[in-house]
Amino acid sequence: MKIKDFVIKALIGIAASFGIFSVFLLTQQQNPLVVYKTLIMCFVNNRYNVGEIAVKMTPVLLAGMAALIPAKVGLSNCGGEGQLIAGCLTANIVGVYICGNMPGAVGIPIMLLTAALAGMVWAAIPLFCKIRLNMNETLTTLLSNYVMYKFVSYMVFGPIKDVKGNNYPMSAKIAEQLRIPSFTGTRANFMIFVAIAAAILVWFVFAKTELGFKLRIIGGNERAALFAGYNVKRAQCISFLVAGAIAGFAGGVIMSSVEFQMRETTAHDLGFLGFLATGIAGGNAIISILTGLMLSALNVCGTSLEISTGLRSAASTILMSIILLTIFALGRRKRAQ
Amino acid sequence: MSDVIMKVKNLRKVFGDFVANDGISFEVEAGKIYALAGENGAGKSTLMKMLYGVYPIDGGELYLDGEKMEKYSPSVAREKGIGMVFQDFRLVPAFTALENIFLSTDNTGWMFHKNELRKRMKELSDRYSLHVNPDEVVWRLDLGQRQHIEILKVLMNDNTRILIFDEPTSVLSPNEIDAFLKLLTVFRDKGFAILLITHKIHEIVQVADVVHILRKGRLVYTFDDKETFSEKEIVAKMIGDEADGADSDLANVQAQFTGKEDVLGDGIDDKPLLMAKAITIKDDYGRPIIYNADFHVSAGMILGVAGISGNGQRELTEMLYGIRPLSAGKLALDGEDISACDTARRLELGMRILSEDPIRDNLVPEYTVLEHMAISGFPYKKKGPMIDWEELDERVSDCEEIRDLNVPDMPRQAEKLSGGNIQRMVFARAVIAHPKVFIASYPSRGLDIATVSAVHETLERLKAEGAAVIFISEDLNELFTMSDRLIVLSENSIFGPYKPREFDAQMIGEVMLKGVKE
Repeated sequence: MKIKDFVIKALIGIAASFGIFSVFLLTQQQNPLVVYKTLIMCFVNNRYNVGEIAVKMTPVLLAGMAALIPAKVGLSNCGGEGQLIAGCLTANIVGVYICGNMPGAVGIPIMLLTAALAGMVWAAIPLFCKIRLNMNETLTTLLSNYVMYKFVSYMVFGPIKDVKGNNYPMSAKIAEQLRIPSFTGTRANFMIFVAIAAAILVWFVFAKTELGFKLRIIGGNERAALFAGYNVKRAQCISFLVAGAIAGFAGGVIMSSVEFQMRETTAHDLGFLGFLATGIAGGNAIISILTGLMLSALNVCGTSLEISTGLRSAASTILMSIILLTIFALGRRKRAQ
Repeated sequence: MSDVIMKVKNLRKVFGDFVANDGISFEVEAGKIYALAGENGAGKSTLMKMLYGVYPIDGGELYLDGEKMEKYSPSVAREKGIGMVFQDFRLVPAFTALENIFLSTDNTGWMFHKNELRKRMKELSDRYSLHVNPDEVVWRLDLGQRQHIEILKVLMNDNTRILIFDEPTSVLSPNEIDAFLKLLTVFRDKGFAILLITHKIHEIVQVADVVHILRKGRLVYTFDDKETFSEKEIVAKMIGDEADGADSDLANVQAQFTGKEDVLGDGIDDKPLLMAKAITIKDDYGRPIIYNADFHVSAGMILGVAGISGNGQRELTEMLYGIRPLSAGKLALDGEDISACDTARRLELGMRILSEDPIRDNLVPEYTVLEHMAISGFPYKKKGPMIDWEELDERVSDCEEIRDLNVPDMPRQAEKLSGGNIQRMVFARAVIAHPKVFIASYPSRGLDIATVSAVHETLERLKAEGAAVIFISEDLNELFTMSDRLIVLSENSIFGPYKPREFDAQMIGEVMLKGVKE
């Protein structure tokens, strides 16, 4: 898919979706025009809300790469969610119990690296099941997400529960110096540029290098890669572990820039949003930046929709779903004759 | 005997322009085993599928109990007592044996009367020693047991009088085959009529009462007295003898070619480039498809590989190329033991392959023809981090093979190419790398006559350059004209090498069908 084609289709899709969503709004006794105006106005002259888009987009984009890279070598990683949360949890534990007294310049990199490592380990389990036991990785990665949810619950109710936290199921907060400084008036930080750069790098490797050319053969036809003498399993393993590390890193970023402490539902859904973002982008990393931006913006304006119109936040989920399905339908590949 | 159940007259079946069956007439009586023999593509399976109602009949008449069949379909066939056991089993792997049998019964009610069905299944399996656990899921059963289920499915129908088997023994191990053949005679003695398709001549001789020989869709000969036929005579009729076989492929070979002259001399066999010693290769089910066999090929030589398809051609090429492991034995290239080398190393050593199915094994749908040229070993230069496509395009387009073979234009996307174009692309890619060893599976398949002769010329050119060419084909004509030596895959072994000049179609036909050369 060309970027230009995508932008045109996305704009058509969004416009059509707003039309469909109007019907829903009318059934809720809301004036669609007022609602849409609210949606747009929430980003105008509102530094904080614009920052929130970046806050959401950073992990969404990185988790998107965690789905995209394995897809290029013929594997499906639906476990970005769990890998991201594994990173988030690990960054909290490392931040609270190990790096508590370290300066930020040392502590933050340690937290992010261990987070990446944790994501990689969490990805390694379904990878082992795939490569050695020949189990379907779509299912194992998907299920591993729910195992991670339960594991986080166990941790915040037990081992890492904050002793000074009035018995709430949440961990202690990481120290002040371990928090990545944010831009004034927002919760956003420079990591958004790291995420965008990562997406561009991924695009460059797959589209513009010999390595990417070879890797894409595996995704295109695994037997063709085998007949070309490539070590298919090795390439798949490395790609999958890199993907897990990126998702884990994204979790570390969330912990050290916005969450600071672990609760039961911390960082939920970000990994799934990332998976969606690349899915709609048709596996193109550059388009993923656009879809990630769109998903994050919809997510943020859902909150203001709730505040200003009294609609439930589920309403924004409906809008998001309509937009995604419409763009998906417009962007589907025409079947070869 | 006058127990005629089925009678066919001048049956005809056409697929487009292709006449699969024509002018076929015979009768089927109760209590007899009828064998159908013929080469690949002689029309045996088509004929059986017509008799079972799968294919509509395009001409001629079919009578059951003297009644002419008009609207014929598998359900009518079943009602009239015809049952068929297909070559590819039609079972649901996730269901148990009993559930699969339930699916096949013409059950009109809502209920699944499990106990009743189980009782009946047990009764039948005891009577015919068709042992299979009714509650085991099918995917856990081996192929022999799956076949038992298929037979039970047919027997569950009380009307069944005629049993049709399409290549039933191809999935069985040798001792299972003996048991199966005994079972056939039991069925016969119970009064069933049996129609049996098989490639294995000794099975026919063992059990058949009547043998029909099919060639090019026609019934060319019938042996109807058990005393009068032998393996040798059946083979002779299948491939056609001088008297009445002028239209057979094999007869053509005999008429036109006495085989390629041995220009290389006996000395060539002393310095093999690629040597396989005591090799055993397993198929996808883990059974040895080639067992303890030897062969070799020298530089500057085309080694033809003959054999009925499915006798290990694919497994052999995959093993040579390093895609399939060598279960036992040794493979050496130019004196170096490459038994355990991966494909990348074999490519480095100058081995190239045209696999039997380039679409499955080589095609990357989203890539262009040019991009395909960069895969599997044609040397390219880099420009920055990427392959220098312009330089590659220039060099590839300069190769005369690309022009001679009429390879599609470089910028075209592979997904949109026809099968013949893909064949050209993959073949050309292999030969422009000037391989030392070239494994060519069915290189002329699906190509027009002009391109076929370009393919043949290219193979000759490779040979002249000193390459060892392993040339697999089903077309004996082509094999006899191209090959310097011939080997035959048959009966889990490799026979030969034979010199085409000293060997005729009759002899190679015998080896293909029965293994040993008498």
